[in-house]
Amino acid sequence: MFNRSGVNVVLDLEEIEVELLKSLTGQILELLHDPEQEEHADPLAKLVGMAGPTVISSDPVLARLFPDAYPDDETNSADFRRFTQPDLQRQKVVNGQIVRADLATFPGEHPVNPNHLDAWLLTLNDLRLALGTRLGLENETEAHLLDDSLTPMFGIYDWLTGLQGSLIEVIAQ
Amino acid sequence: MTVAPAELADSQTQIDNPWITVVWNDPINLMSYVSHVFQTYFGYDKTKSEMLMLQVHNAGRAVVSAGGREEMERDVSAMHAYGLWATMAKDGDV
Repeated sequence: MFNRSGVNVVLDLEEIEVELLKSLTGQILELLHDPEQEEHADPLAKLVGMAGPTVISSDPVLARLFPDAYPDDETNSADFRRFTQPDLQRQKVVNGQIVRADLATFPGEHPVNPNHLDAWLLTLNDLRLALGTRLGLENETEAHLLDDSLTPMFGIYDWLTGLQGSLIEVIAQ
Repeated sequence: MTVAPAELADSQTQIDNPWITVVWNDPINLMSYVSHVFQTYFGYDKTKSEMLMLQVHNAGRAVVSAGGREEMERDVSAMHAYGLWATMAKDGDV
């Protein structure tokens, strides 16, 4: 969990938690580097920085991370997506890479570079959005909650919630 | 400072057609996080941020900013960067 120690923000992680974070961060980085989207990009559009996709992703996690901006307006949503999604995706990748690099100093209790706290906050949020979406929290059903095979994932989700909560508390202090 | 006619026309359009940014409730984002985003990005004070966050939570959505179309596209994109579920609309359409 995150804590304040004097002027520093410190993070205390056990080895299993470090491995878990590395694995989850790796997975989201992979998802954000979806080669399918790159393939479909028009080379000229790419050159002038307009290479974004125009339709919402069929992957529920990507659809949640990059929702339509104009409800019930496909044309404007497509334009918005083409112009904004590549940048948003890059930001998320950079944040994830910062977290992954920081994880190299763990396990144990270590101070976190104050300039990296936003990257941590946003990456933890992306991980919770990804996991929460995969768990079906957006449209929770009883069948879901009774599915024992999902129990470990719920455990990881709850742990991420605690970790992110501790960071928000420390930042707000 | 001289204002180019095009800019004048543009700002007039913005006055006539104000757009809004709407943040929608979702079961994943933490209440403390949503409030933190409103404080950080919009610079709203703690009271206003928490009030908006509670509106999102209880009413299902809240209008978090209003202005010209480009400005609102920036706000919606910023909300997406934070992982909030945001959309935009012409004021009056929602």
